[in-house]
Amino acid sequence: MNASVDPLDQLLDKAAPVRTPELSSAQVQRSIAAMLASARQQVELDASGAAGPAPDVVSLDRRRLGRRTARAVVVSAVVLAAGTGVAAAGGFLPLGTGVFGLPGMTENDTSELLNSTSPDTAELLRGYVAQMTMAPGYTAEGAIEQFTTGENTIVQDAGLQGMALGWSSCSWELSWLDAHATGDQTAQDAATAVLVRIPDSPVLLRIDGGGVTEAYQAIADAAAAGDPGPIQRDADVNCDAAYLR
Amino acid sequence: MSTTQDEQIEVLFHAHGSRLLGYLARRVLPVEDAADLLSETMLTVWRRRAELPAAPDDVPWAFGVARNVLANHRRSSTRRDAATAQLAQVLATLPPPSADRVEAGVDLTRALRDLSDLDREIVLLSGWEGLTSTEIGLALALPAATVRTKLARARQRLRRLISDADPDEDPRAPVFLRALA
Repeated sequence: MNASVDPLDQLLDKAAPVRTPELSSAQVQRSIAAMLASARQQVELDASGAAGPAPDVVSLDRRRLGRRTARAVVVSAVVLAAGTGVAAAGGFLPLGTGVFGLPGMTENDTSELLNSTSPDTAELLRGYVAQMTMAPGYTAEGAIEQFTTGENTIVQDAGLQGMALGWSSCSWELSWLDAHATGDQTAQDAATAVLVRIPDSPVLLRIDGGGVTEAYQAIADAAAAGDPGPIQRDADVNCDAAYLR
Repeated sequence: MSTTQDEQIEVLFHAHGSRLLGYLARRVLPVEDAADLLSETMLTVWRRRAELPAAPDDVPWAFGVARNVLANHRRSSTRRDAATAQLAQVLATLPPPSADRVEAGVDLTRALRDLSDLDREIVLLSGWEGLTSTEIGLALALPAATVRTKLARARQRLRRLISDADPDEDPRAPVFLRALA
């Protein structure tokens, strides 16, 4: 069966004012290489002339700024950059921030905002993943590691549940696609059985501000119909297989 | 300067420099300004190399840098070095989009105007730059789950806007993303 093409993707492709292949010529590559050498030279000159703080000082200043930013989260949004992974590795960040979502402020609810790089966040995520199922051969450990050791962000509990649901769905989408490609009907049926239940997940009631359940429903419908197109598109955009195996 | 970081930056721009250039070229007019913006992005990446994450997370991180450079862009009369001027010349001589691509650009621009800045950025980072939700999250400092939610919602809204579009609306609406500023 041919994969269907989403008309929105067709429009996006057609409407791009400049296409990346147009920028892949040898001339462009040579210019980029020369510009990179020039930029490096400029930075070395700046450093030798003491024309600004050394990189480590810049980094430290940024870290301090990040902490101040975190305290201002109430008036911004559900997530924002704050602190660094280094601080989290040292155990400086507790799970909770003491800040709660205001009605209408976030996509989720009024629960407490949590630090993504707190040591407790990984355990919380593992607990949520355990409540869902991962397809055979898939694990969320890589995704958990990637999320909890990167740049710190603020996330709500429902957001963590949504992430776990996303990883679970991805594992079954990828499993479905593998099975479809190899003609393994048994594995495809097993994946379909899970994917068709995801739109009814209670987690979606907490995280869906509109459109998410419909997106999962489209995947479920495609799985049931044996159409790889919508599943492949979602997997391409939302599923990083490298973090799920 | 750390050799490892030097090499990582070289590899980053060798493999993804044209993608970053494309990101900038699709968002700025005149298009040749993208050469200056890429040059500034390179300088910023070198200056912030202490913060450079390990590959493959360095790619979305570099997109985040380019995004900030773009946000702070003001046309300047700063003299371009030879390499940047050469790239600007290449960009200035790209063939103009065909009529049907311009028409598609108008349709998309009309629909995108009704999305929030963040939703628009997420849709285009996915649709044009080919970034995954995780990568977009790294570029925008958002959890991937939030990106996934926003992307699904924004694409649904965009489909609705496109299907409801009035073909008789003023066709002089500015084309492409300059109109969204």
